[in-house]
Amino acid sequence: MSAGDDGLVPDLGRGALTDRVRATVLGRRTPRAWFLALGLATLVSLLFLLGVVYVLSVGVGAFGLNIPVAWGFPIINTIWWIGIAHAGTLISAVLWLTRQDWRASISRSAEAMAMFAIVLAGSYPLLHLGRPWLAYYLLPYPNLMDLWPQWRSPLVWDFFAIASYLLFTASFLYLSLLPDLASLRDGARRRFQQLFYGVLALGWRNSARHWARYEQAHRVLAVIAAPIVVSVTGTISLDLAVSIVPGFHFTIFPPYFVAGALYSGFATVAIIAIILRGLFGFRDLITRAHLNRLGIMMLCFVLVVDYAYLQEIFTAFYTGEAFYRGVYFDRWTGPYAPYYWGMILCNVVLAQGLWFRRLRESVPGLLSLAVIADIGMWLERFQIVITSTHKDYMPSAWDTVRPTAWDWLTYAGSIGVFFVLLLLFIRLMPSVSMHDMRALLHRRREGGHG
Amino acid sequence: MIARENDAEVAALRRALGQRRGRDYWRSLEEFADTPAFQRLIEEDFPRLAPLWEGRVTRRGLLGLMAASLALGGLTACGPQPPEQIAPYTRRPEDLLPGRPRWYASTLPLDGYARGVLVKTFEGRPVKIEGNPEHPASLGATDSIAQAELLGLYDPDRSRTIRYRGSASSQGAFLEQLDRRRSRWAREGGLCLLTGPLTSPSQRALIERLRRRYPELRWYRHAPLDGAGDPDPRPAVRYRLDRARVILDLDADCLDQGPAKLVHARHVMGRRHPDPQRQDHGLPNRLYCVESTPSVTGASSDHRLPLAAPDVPLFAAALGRRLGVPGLAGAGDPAGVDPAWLDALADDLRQAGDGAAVIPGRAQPAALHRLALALNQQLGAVGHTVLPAPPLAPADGDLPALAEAINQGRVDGLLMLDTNPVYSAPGALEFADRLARVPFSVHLGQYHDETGRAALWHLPAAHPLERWDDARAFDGTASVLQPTIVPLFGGFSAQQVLAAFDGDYRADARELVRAHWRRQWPDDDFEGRWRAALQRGWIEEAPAAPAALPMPTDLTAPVAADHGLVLQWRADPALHDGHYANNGWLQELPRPLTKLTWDGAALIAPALAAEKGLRRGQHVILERDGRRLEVPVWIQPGQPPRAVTLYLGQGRTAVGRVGDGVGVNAYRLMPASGALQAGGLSLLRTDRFSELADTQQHHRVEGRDVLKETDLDGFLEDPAFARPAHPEPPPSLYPEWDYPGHAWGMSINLNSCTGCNACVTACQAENNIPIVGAEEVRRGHEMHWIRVDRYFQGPAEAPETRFQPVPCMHCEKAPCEYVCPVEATQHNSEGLNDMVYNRCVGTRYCSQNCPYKVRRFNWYHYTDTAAKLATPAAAHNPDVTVRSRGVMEKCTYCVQRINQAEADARNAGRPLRDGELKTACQQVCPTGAIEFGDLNDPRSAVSRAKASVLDYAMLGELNTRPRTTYQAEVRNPNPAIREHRDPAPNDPEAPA
Repeated sequence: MSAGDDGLVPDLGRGALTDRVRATVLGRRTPRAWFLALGLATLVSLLFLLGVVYVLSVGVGAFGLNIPVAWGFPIINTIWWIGIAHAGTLISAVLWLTRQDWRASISRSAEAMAMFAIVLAGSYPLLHLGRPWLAYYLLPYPNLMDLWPQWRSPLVWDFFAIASYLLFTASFLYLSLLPDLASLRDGARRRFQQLFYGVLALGWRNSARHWARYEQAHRVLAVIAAPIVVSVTGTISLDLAVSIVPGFHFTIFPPYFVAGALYSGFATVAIIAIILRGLFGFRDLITRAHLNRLGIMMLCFVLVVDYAYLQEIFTAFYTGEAFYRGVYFDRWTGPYAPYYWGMILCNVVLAQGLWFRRLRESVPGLLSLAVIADIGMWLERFQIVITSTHKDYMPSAWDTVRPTAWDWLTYAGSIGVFFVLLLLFIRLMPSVSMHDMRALLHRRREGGHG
Repeated sequence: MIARENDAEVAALRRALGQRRGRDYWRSLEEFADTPAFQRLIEEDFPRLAPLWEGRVTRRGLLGLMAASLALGGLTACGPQPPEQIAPYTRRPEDLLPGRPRWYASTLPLDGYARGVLVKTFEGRPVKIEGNPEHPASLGATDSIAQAELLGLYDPDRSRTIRYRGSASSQGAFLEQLDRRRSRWAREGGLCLLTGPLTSPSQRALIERLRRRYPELRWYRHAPLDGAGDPDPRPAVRYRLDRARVILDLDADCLDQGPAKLVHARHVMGRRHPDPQRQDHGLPNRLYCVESTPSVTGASSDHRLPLAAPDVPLFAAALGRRLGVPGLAGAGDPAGVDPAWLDALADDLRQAGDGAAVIPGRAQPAALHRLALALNQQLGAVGHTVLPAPPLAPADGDLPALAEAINQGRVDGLLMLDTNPVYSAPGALEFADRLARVPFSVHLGQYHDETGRAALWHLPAAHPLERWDDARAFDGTASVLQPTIVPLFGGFSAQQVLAAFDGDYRADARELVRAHWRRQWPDDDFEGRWRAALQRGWIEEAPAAPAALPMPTDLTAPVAADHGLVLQWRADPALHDGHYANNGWLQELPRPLTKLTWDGAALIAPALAAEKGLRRGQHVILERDGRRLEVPVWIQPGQPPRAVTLYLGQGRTAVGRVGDGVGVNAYRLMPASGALQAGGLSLLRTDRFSELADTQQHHRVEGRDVLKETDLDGFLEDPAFARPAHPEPPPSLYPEWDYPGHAWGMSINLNSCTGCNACVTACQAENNIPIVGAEEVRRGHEMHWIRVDRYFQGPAEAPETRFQPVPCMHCEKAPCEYVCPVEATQHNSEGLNDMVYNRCVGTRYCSQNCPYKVRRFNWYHYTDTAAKLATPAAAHNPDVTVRSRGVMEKCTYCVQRINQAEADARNAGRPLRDGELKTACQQVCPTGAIEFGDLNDPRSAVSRAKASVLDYAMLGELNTRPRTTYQAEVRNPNPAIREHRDPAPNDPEAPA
């Protein structure tokens, strides 16, 4: 299947590779599975639409929230989606800076995944607001009252973090698409395809000067991206850590959240890679060796996450504070204990399967581990957000919430929206970066340099 | 006025008509119209048409008339604007400033007894009720029910029309029917009157007038909360608890029940100011409570003993034997009561002598009342703490007697004034069936309720805030109800109806009341006295000569009997006897001990629950005397193990959109005598469950720095026990605030708080807090800005109960302020933590970061006019914003009152005086537990309270530096009673 020395490089000529990938976009035939998947995803995404319309028309009371637990699914889902986005940035920027060749075939899909995940992550805070139509109050816009946002509030930091991440990811994705858009334009036979990709390619002519500029821009963005990977989820974790709520207020949160984000992100990249292999037959481009590497990344980050769990428990008890201890006893034995132990099962017990190369390289094996990772990370965010305030300082105010149908609908629906966007993307855009792969082939096979 | 006396005839004609077809139909309609029955119907329905009808208007003539009317109607619309001048409102009456409230003294009766109030009105619209400080039954405070009367006034479900057999009718039709019967009643008798407990002097005078006209008139009284009637009346007694040193409450809940409850609460609790320097240590009294149902009084007492209601007289007799009351020598101790406890209590009472007071519960039988009076007599308390009270006018009988009279066919006419016996009669009386046998029944009520529907005639009653009336307080002080608004729905006063029965059909409600008092003051300047009474809120009268208390003789010790499982009926702490069931503020008021709102439950002891394998909310079938009632259970710590309590007041079926179908009607199980406790209950478990809407799920303090308390010994040992170990505040990264003007603060004295909930309703009324409904409460969406937390400690069978009112703490270093991204919650220049509704986008971060969880969020548009339980706009306080969906809200320290008082002081060019400004919760508090004022003024009451050694900040270690602080509680238990008592407020044994 693969001819490269480490199984990462396809046994293809450069031209053949371009033709392969280009055919998935320009070809007239669309795989039947794609239609099936899109239909299913669209149906699910309609649930999201329904949920959004309902919540916007009646109010956030539709969600399972109350006074001790005033944050719920919208916040959980924000953190979850933004975490998933992180792996995309890590693959396309950090792995590029560190010259990890194996990233080439998955970087495009990872970037697209990041893009769509951020869009969803950014839509939840709006849904979370009591009065979403006034969300612009968070902006430092000029106004008659000379009123600024509260700069001490982590939600303002959050707003800027997500907004800059969105801008960054969009530009990074587009920049890396440019040479490929030109290839598509050149290979297109039909007029509308030539026009569509021609306009998007912005006049890319494959000249050395273009490439030099491209490399420069790419390097600058990649260098900026590296801290963003750490800072966005770090900032979001501060929403919790800066508060005085026991269960939120832990200094370990920023690195802990970054590791969790990357764990779930790599898991999602693995899921998408497996889908691409199935849908377009990219088994030679995205090989078992790639899956293995993704599994190794997941393992690496899940171990950090597990360490953070231990560290958090240690901190809770080392403080000697009844409040922190109380939160932990409640997480273990309280009404939400199934969520906690579910998280432990996914992220601590089952995740150890990643140690085994056979599991990492097997498609069903890695797929299940990746799905488990995403579920586990969602449960982790659930137990952090819900269980911390449901029993915080005042025993008289303790209360539980139950997620409502609207909570589940908007959560499940968002996964549908994600796949609709992703499926449209891989049909309209090259889901494997042609120019990155060509450069890789050149380097590996013909001794060229990057 | 569809007074179809000949209904049957008309119906027969209709049937005949329905069988005709085709051309025949028209002919038969003419035939139909010609019948005398139809003529009568038309005359009664449209009396003004009668002459036309008589004149035989032809079809042509009628068409012509109609055409002319239409044409002329059109002409007027086309005409030019009339050259009439209107003038702007430039010369306003003196003192009437638009936007400034006016206050009127009035009276609100509860169970017939007066509570003096001041009504705040804006442009003729009542918006808030406060206690009248000069009224002896109020002393400036009110209870929740008085606060909620405001919402009751604007209740859109109140009755609006006279009804005959359920259909709208007219006053004329009613008077015509009444007139036909009056002479017969005068000749042959047969007229009966049913009222609630009635103290109104003018109503009583009118009843006397009726008696003269109808010598056979029988007056029955239905007081469902007073239990079974007794051949011997109960001694009419009132208590001076400000003179009492040792108080024994025998199932009376004296701080929260009865016409003197506000005074009792002030006298008992308002004097507890622990001070190691004073001779009595500032704790001048000790309260013992023997009670059948956990109550506010039991929670506030120094010693509490749960005892099933039928055992309470045994307890009193055993105490009487120890005190040497004659006739009780043979009394044994009730089972399960520690004799040493009784001995210690007897010693304590004996030592207090004339400073002792024994208070029997109104739900208890008259035998206990006589026993208690004998105890008081033996102790020497009569004449000192126990005084005679003006007795209720003797009625001719109670509800069972009326039912009996109906059975015997002796009742031809029945007038029911402000009472709802079809709902509140004991189920065994089957009163609805009996009422159907009364030929002419008339119901006057604020709602077209169960009785209104069953009676022949229903007349809408005016609300106490919109009618002229009078009433007496528990001590006999009379006061006038002066209307603060014209009747919104055209209701009548009881006086008007009584006068109509006397043949006076056009009597003016005001004149009827005045006429009575004019007769009382024949020589004086009547207008002057009348005006003074209205302004003051009570009537100055020469005190009636104090009747000597008839001392009970021939006391016999009650005999212990095995009652099996006992069922006890008690007044609902919010809905009372059910009259207030359509009041959303009261339905949603967390009951003090259970913290339940809306649907009620049967209270059972944890031991009984364990025995029957019941969980909270599980349905049981209560069966007694062949009657069954399915009801969810509530496991209540401190409930006597063999007694089940049902609160009365729920299960209404015809009161309105709020109260209908909430809970079950506990009256259905009541024995015919109306006794409020009965044995022989069986309890069958079912597998059905209800999720009850309570507002507090956890009942232990969990060792947290929330409540601080000790007993007197602990206090004398370490008076500063409440102070933190490190008195200096921990450092903060943020700079200190500067308060050049005022710095507001609050101090809540846990020694005084009884947990009565008056502050919760007062806050709701003052601050336009919406009602959310049972489902929303279940989801934790209740909106009260001040909550009264209730904690249990100690064993579940006999726990100690503690209350703690929690408004916003207005922290100096507020965790909510720095996390709001849009600066919608801010520290203001006077130390308040302000909420800027306009700016709030609803991130709810402030609530997440509030350690006290005092913030409330508008999850839905609760204040939408289309909302199911929307408060009528007229009831809103115009000084307070009505919040919309998606906005956070919380206690503001009544910032509208602060701003008003500051503006007034500024305009008058003087400094704001301490005490001039009161928050709503402070103003209503019967015990003065809440102090509010300027911390910059070291002499202000709140500064002095905060200087107390007992002052502590809740969760002070978080360094939020709350401006609302508490005064730790010191109890005064009897050292001779070595009962289980844990001085630390963190006992993990209380039930979850």
